[in-house]
Amino acid sequence: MGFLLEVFRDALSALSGGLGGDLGSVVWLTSWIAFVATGISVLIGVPLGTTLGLSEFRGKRATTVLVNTGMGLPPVLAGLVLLLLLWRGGPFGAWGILFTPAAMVLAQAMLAIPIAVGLTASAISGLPLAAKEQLAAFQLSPWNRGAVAVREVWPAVGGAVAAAFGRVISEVGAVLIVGGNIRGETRVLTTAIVQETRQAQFGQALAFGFVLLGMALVVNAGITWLQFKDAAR
Amino acid sequence: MVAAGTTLVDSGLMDALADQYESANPGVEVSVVGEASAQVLELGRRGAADVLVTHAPALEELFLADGLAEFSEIAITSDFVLVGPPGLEDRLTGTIEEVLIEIAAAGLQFVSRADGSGTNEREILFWEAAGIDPSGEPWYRETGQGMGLTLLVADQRSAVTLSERGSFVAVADRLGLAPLDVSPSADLANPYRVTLVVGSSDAASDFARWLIDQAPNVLPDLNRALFGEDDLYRAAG
Repeated sequence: MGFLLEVFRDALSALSGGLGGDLGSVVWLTSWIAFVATGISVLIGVPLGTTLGLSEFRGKRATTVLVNTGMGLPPVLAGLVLLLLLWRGGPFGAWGILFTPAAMVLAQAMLAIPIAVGLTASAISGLPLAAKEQLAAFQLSPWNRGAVAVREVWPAVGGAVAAAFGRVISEVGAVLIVGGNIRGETRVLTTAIVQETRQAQFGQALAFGFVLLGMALVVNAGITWLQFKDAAR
Repeated sequence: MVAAGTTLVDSGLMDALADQYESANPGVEVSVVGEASAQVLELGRRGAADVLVTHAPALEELFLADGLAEFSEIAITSDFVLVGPPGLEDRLTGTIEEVLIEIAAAGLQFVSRADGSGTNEREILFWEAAGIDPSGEPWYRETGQGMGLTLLVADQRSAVTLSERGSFVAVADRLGLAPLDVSPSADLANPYRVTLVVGSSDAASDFARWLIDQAPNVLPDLNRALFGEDDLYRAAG
């Protein structure tokens, strides 16, 4: 017990040291990478998921299986594949973005898009048959039809956004591989936790963990608030 | 359990040594963990590892002074090399301090382990000897990671880094990094210390002894098999 208390005290004193120095840059980088990656995955994933949920086509079941597998894509594998693609001399090496935040955004989007697609599709598929028939009866463009459908099941789509964000912010395997944990450039909360733990700086590691948890809490509280606000209307 | 510096693990030598020992002693299993030397010694302090292989003299001295070693000997030596993008070897020459001064003056990208490893300890000493404090400089990057990943970052970001030679040679043919032309010096020697933690088992003691005693016999073959070089890792003494 003494050991745990000591680590906990170290964590608190690291936190009360304020957001100065490393912690500030790590939190800032973590936030914007996570928001951009979540944004990309929502912009791509929700329309795709809506299309998948509304349309009937040959191979829909196979597509769903693929999407669901993508939801469980191992992050280290995504990281490795992206590293090979972005490696100098590789197909996208000319971009020169390996070991930069851009590569980390790509890695996270790669992991979060299937989640946004899969959860949106399953929410849309859950629409009552009558609602679907009604939607089809309106002379709407596919885009507007999708927008109406998403509004119908908004709380569940909000859940998809929250899950995509959760995947992005908690991920460490891929961002370590394609980011490199460079101080002040590509070090985010999760990779910092790995590093501090390996260096036996348990208090500092736990402090980063608290901040990570706090960020997840704030973002999810925001999404939940939006879900309920609309559901009550 | 054996804990060793990441350079020896990333170069493949530690696993090769463990394999050799296991085949000579059927039924014995050696578990190798690769961590920076500071963590290796910390594992020893906490009793989580029995045999420590480290290359951080300043930290080792503290460990020995605390009476935590049953026995401890320098067993293996290799070298440190500065490696960087090709072309630099013609521009930068001289002692390691002179080359570091030129790197700083030109603002060339440099990647540091910054992880409490033996390599990192030595890098800091070299900067001090050169009279330069690189921390916070825009050309100075810190990965906080092991040797292998740091070499990948240096390669892709066209930067210079200090590496243990075996770890570099192990990945050299897949990377575009080349050794810089640093004049040979005793300062570049990289001695690995084998330490048996007090209170360890007889089996652990036997392995530590084997490492120290058998290094001269097994290293030449391993050098050729793993690196195609005769004298990369040498027995100390």
